[in-house]
Amino acid sequence: MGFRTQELMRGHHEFVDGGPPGRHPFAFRARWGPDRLREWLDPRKPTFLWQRLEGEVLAGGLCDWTPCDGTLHLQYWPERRIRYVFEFDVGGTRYRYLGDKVDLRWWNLAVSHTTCVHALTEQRTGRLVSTGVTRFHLRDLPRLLTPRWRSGDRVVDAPAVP
Amino acid sequence: MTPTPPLAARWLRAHGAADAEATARAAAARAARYPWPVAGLWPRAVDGLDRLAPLALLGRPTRASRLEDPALFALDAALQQHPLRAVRLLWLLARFPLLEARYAEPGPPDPGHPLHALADVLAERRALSNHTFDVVVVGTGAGGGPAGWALARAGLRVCFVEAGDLVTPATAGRAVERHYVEQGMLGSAAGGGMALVVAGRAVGGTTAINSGTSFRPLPERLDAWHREWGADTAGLDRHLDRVEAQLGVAPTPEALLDGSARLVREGLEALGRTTSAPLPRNAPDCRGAGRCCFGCPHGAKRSTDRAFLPEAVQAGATLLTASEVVGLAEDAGGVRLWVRTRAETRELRAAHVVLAGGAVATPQLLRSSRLGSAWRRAGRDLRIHPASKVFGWMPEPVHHEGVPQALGYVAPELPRVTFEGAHTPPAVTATLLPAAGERHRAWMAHYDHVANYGMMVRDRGTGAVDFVGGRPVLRYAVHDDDAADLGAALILAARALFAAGAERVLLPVAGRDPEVASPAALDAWRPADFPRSALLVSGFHPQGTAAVGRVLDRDHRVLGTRRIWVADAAAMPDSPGVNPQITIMALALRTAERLLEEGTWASAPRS
Repeated sequence: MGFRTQELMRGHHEFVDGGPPGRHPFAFRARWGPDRLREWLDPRKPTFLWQRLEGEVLAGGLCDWTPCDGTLHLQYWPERRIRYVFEFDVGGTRYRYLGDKVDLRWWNLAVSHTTCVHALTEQRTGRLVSTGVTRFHLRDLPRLLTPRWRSGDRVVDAPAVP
Repeated sequence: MTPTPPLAARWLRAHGAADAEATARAAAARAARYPWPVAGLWPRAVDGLDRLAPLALLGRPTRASRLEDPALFALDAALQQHPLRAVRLLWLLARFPLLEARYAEPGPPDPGHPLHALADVLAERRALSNHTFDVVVVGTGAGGGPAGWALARAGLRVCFVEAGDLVTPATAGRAVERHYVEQGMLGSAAGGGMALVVAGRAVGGTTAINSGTSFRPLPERLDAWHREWGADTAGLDRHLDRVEAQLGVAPTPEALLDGSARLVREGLEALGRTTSAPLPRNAPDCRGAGRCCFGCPHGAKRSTDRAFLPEAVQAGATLLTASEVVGLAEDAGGVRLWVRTRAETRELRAAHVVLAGGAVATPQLLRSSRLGSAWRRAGRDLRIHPASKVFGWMPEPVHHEGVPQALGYVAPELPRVTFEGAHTPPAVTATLLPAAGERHRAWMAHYDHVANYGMMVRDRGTGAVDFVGGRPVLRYAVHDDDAADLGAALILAARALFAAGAERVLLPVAGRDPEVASPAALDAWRPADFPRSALLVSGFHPQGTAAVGRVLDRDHRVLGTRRIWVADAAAMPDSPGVNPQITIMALALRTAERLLEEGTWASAPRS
């Protein structure tokens, strides 16, 4: 038994050097969720609160809704962060996104769970391409909180996802 | 900023540190990087000794950091010789980073590494989308390197996953911290004794930080493995030949024997023992830098990161470094592995997995992932080579240039003991020297006059690796007969050093004055004077924790699995009777051969 949900993070990024100057829109749509809920919730397992993600990424000045895949790890303790790592190809160059929602504490959930700071690098060389911030908008919360429940490969509960 | 206990700077000043405050800060910073819980314990241990030890041991109600030099040295010696093992352990812990910082040396220039030339291709292959392989090899040491090399050259898609980093001269100055398992602090205090157990955590595994000694296994040990454990040891010679050719194994040239080796040979011959011989090694281009155990500064040693991995990468293999496998599971389609780096956790899939992380990491994976039908037995039956050494104060400077572990000898009356060396740099010698206080300072001040010779014993004892909070905890008690063998061997080595002209020798023992001033005084020592509770022991070559006949079948496949194999020191039932790297490599090649015969591959293997 598992689930699959979807979230949309929107914001901006700025190229470090060599790219178009100024702020550019940055967004990614991530579909993620564990295949086996019991393993996902078991702290003894390496897959504890970890799952693969897939989706699309828009990086102004670089690409427009390009497929991406990677991982999402909810590291509440001791790191107090949620880490997104994914990669995507643009014109034969592979880019790596590493984003963190940081300083997760009970009194700042509304901010810390919705704000993701990131660095975009070239996968092969590690060269920093851009940095930026994306946010989760609360109007997208219903979509995030209505996951598709799955049993093996079969979807057992498929709410309408707009 | 790391707090610096007052005793640290005071102790360093007494031991002649040029800038005691700065050295103490460096020591405190180093201690803060120790693995948990040692990092938190160090400042408390030093502070505790500062406050309590003078009153308890000298009857002086003051802090140790306020003592004058003679009293501080007396306190140091009293702690070293304290009858309570816990006190001695605390003292060892407290002064370890101080000694490292006091006698630290700058690193040599970087000669480059063949894997650097392949950095671009490796970086591309590390993409997250590259996650499906024919074989994932966990570890790149004596087992993983050759196994993955053979499989990649056969045309399979191979991925090496290595927890450590590449050993380079840039990291050699901090080799113990960077490239040793648990930063060199893996040890046991069980059974009334203490032993530090040394193993590598680097690209190339222990082969990158070992002495390079390259013996074939003793035939009688292979026969015993076959007889007692059902191990398939027939036809291993073909793989041993292949390994020796790949490594360029040859006896150490006479010109490269270091000063200690020459003196010991001279001493042994004076005692009528003429069968010592240069050790075979895997460093055909050796220039005698004397730093084998911390990463060869010239890149001359043919460790697996140089002898096997570059060819494997050229054949298409992927290499993930600083990447730790934290779990794996076998299912009908293959094996899933979860690999953790500093940045992320990623999932790999493979048709087969070869575990080759060594005798500590392999049982940890077997147990944490409950692999096969015998995972509960993994980690038990730990065997090591207990080792110790004797130091001699020579009248003339000893030329430390040359191979530090160069001369081998087997005494007919001690068939389980192999005399091998080895000389160490100042920072390591300082931590091994069985002296304290003024005596320690004097010996280190005459470091260029210090010769030493060590030995290891094929052990009779067994131990276990347990895991607490994911960290390895060793339980290993040196067998009484092994301690007696080491005692006899230490006395013989001391006699050889005296015969070569030593003015005095230091024996590695607590609870009794370890300094012996003459051959006549040495006559009073007996092997029984080295009980395991007092003998200062290091443990090398951990092995046997997931062995054939106990956790593996005769092909080295994990019992109760179809796709998980072991190719490292854990697979050997016990000691091969010699330094084991060649044996492990040959067994790994044979395991790879079996795997090729058995597997169903997406890639078509070349014959």
